[in-house]
Amino acid sequence: MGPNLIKYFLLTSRVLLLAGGLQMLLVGAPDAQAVSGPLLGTFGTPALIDMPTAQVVPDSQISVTVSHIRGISRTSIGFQLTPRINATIRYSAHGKPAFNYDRSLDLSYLIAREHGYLPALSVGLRDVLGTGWYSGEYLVATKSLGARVTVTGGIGWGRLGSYGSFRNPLSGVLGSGFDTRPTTTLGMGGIPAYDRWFRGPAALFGGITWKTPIRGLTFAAEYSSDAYTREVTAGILTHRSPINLSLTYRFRNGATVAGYVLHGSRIGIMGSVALNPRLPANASSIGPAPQPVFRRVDAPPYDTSWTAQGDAAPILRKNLALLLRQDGLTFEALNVGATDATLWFRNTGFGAVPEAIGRVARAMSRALPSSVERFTIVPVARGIPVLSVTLARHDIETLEHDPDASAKIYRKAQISDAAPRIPRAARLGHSSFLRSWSLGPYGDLSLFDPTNPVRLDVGLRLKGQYELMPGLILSGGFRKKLFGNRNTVTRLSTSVMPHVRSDSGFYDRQGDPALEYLTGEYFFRPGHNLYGRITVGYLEEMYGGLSSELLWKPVSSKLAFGVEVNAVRQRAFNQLLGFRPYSIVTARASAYWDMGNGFFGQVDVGRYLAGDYGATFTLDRVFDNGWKIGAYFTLTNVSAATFGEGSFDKGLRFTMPLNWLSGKPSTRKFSHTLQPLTRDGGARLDVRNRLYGLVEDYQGDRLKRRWGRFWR
Amino acid sequence: MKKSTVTLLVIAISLSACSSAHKGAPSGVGMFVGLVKEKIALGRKKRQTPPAAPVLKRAALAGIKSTLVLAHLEKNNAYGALSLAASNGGYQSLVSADKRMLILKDGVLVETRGLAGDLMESDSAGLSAALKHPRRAVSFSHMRRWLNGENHKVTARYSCKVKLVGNETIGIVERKYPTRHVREICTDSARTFQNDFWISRRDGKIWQSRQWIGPVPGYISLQVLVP
Repeated sequence: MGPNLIKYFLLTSRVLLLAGGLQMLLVGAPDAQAVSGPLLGTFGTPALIDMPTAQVVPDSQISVTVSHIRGISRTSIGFQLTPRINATIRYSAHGKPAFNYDRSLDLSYLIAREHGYLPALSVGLRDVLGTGWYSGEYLVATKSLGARVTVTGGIGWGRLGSYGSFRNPLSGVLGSGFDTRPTTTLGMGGIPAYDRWFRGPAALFGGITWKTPIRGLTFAAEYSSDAYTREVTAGILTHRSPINLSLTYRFRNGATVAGYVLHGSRIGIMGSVALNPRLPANASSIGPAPQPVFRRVDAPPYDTSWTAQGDAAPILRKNLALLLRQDGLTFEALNVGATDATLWFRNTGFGAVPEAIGRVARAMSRALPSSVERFTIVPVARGIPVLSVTLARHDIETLEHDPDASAKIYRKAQISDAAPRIPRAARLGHSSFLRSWSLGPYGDLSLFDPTNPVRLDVGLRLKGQYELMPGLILSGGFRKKLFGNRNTVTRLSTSVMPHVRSDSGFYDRQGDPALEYLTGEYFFRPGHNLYGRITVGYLEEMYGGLSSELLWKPVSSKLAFGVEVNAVRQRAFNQLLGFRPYSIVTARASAYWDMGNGFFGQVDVGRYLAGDYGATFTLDRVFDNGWKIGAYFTLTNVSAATFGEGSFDKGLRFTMPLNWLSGKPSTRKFSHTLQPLTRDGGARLDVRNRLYGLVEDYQGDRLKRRWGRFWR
Repeated sequence: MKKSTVTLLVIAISLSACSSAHKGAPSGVGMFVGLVKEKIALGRKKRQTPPAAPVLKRAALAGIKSTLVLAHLEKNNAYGALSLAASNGGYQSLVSADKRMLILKDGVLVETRGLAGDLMESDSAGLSAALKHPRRAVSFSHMRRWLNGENHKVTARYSCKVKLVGNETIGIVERKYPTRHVREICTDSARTFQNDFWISRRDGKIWQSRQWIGPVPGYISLQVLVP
């Protein structure tokens, strides 16, 4: 291995360590349910070795695969988007030392499951968007013979039709246009290469896998239809034989290691780890039991003379604040009369909102005088009430241990929009305000930079927030790097557009220490079903100014609409108080759609940071434990040539709830966006605390789906 | 990594505890460090010999007035004493010092709270009726509900029968109880489990039992120390 390749390999291993090490460390816990599925090949998709199979991995599984032979390294991240659709992104380095770094996306679709004598059948596209290094398509069938053997056969085009090829059988049906495969790249790359799909010569491939009697050890042999033409031309490898062989060992937690022989000339190694958002990484502990409901022992008519006692309400506030604190929740306010009580609180405790509401209901049953029969529970997010759940105390008492407790209490609960304001007199002084600070380490990761696939900074971050009055919050974040390699990017932006994002290298290099943000935010409820936000100050790493937003979201609606207008100026590279000359007004109108079947869609239309106009389309797979995995793309009125490499902006984003990892109650989440390229077209302002994200967990459908945790 | 950076990392992690948040709300990294520690501790615990069942003396129970139950979770080989925290409509909520909760109705475990894979809801009416007449081999249904990793309810409906195993005299903390040993056997398409009850021949009370919570926590054994 040359020094560059060693570096590359170390770096890709670090990705594996980040994604997989986490899993190795935590999924090995005794209660973890192991992830499973067919073997993944050198491309990170279900495969023999290089050749695809028709098998699918379990729905929603995420896998990270690294494969390496001398001169070719591939790191792939795969996601089973639906039970039938798999998407895999890949970063590859070619050459020794590497002369080419390639990013590619594969998609495959399971046409038919294995059934009786019929094999499973899949169709797939390799390198759908890229520059064509791995461009190829296939149709493949896989049949299992008993519990130990699978047999696979298929036909490939493009790269998968490059060895032992024959005239495209499709050209007989679809016309002679299918005889030749274009080699030009559409736009500046990054556009689906539909002009190539299933064109040009085709070839057959196939192979078998055999689960050996040694537990976890699988042998695979394949006849490859990939001639490795590019690699042979570049002198990376010699194609001596179409036969490839591998031995794979699968650990109990689902991770695999494998050795393989490629085309009779190279020995390779490969490893994979997998996790599934549906299966908690750590279920060893899920936090303490709730307080039991207190069932009133006295009978109606209840004594209401306590209402005449002047300090009754303040005492009840204090008691409830204490009870809520035991559950990690934050008391905000209480309005109490002879028969009705309304309690406002912040969910600082539980990933699932119904669990927090259930705990508050239990606390109210313990603390409030017997005559109070109606409990209204109002969660508050950044100073504004976001939901109202009204319950009859009698129902809480009688349904606590019912065999259908959660379904019945859901039917009895009145779920609606909250009144816009918390009465001042109901508050427990300033002690309930959002005021906190923290000093801790941070890690800032950027992946898939063309010349430096893993860039990471580690340092210390000081954060604080101070609520002056309900909804008015000052906050700031300041960081000092300790070590890292994010400042080592030497590529200068060659963008012909205003450098609204592509100067990130300068920010990375000069922004140490950095004022990450320093803002005054005001959150308010301008009316029924309406939410508002105004943010002023240093909004994000690269921009400062003013950002304002309005959101319409009825609690029970699957749809929401919002508008946002921002007047911003580009910040100085040193990320302190100064600014650069560039300023812009951006705006967008957004539609949000919780489809209810585990998918979430969003469309934003408007003006972007470089002054370009267009729309962003986002699709997320959402899980009711808080996981989100999605992709987006932005099309604006900037031509591919002006945009540069990639032709338009696109990326992946995911959110992982920390309680999924720890098994402990927490509302914390970890979010990351993977952008293959950071360019200036379709760039958006990255302001904190956008309204939809603030309210989405408190909305009807999501509450209903998670309601099983009410009595937890 | 150079040695200095490792040192800095250690400092950084130790600093992760600095925040205004009250206890029980650790920072992201703090939580992570906690997890690693837990994992190491778990590994150590595995290598050690399992703890023997606690030896109790009747004298130690003398002053205790309210219900006290000794529980043994087989999977973790963990013992705990649970005392009555609340009673609601015949359902007893028993809580341990580390805030794990079992809910019993007439000695039958109907819910758990604070365990991984909690039994969230169940229907014990059929079983309670059958336990009273163990010689009649009537079959009844037994519904159980848990939450999966996505917070969705998972319901299993078992078809069950009870049978009389025989008369047995059991000992609980230096005291002997003549009991009838009754076994409930439940099946659905996916699994079979059995619950064992030792019911006093004098007052019909369940003094000892071994009951299945669910697929993740497995079986728990209960002994009533103080009724």
